[in-house]
Amino acid sequence: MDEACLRDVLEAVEAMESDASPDVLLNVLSDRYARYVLCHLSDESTATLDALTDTATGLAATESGAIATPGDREEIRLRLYHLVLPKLDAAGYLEFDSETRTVERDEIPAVLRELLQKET
Amino acid sequence: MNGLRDQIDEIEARQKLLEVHTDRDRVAAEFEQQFSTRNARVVRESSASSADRGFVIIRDADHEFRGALGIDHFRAVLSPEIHPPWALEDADVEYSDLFEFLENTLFTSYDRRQMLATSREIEERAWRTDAGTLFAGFQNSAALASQVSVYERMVRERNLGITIFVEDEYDERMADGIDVVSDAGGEIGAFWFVIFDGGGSDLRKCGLLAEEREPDRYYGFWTYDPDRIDEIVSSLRSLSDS
Repeated sequence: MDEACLRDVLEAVEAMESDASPDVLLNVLSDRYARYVLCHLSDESTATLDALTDTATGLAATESGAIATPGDREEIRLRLYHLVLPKLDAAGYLEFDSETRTVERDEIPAVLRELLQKET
Repeated sequence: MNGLRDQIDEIEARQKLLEVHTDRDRVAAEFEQQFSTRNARVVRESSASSADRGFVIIRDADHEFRGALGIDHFRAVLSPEIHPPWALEDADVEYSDLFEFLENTLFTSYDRRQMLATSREIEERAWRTDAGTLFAGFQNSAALASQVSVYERMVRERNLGITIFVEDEYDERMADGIDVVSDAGGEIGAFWFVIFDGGGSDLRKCGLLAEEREPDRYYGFWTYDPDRIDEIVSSLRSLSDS
């Protein structure tokens, strides 16, 4: 995230409605895998863990300029399952069913959607 | 000899899947066209999230994930430049990664230039390993003559052995370290191959095997798979010993 983008975030956070906590928002925005997941959910309201993992792996490979191997993908899958999706669930942005390994989009704050749009 | 053709048939039976994640029609069409001659099915996954940073995912015949990379990077993989092995040695590019990515994918209608570029990557590995034997097969002595200077430099400057197969007679004098199996007979003249036995290391084994089915249209694959390389090397050794 560059400076201009960070400024946007801070301005957005200030202007934000009171229902989204700045801490949660910044925490989510600073985690690139969380951003990838929310990007995916801006297209589709439901997704499987596998589909989210594919998107996150592809976007990570594009950003790093490296080739993602099956091992890299597995690490990202575990990360989403154990860290990222529970965090986004706790923030109320999505619902993660760890049994069926599916995700349903919930309330993603408008400010967040806007910032993610800028990033792409 | 049926060993080489069996290898190609086996690879052909496993069609790969290329998922192109992009919201741009032009990019998707580009890969569809490029892969229409390969043993791979192209599927487009359209998504706004990949607007400026589309990527591709390659899956094997069982739809298992094999690799992902950005579209620009993928384009670079698909258009290898031809460099001699001693130039590749210092190149600041992850050649082995690129190479590994598309291994065991059957290609069709490679032209001579693409075959040479791929051969160079195998020769570069042998050059860097500085041990072992490189096997190369040529359809005729004219094709061999154009590569002799590369191979002579390899045996002169590196601790490598080179065994060359050519279907017709070849009487030119070769540098020490290069064995020529001429008049090899069988099907050898149908194939263009460059196989490196790894010089004792499984991680270094690699090879390219293709058949010219139409003039300047090659059909085959490259691989890093040590078992596959061992099979090919043993069938070539049995030919050169006989």
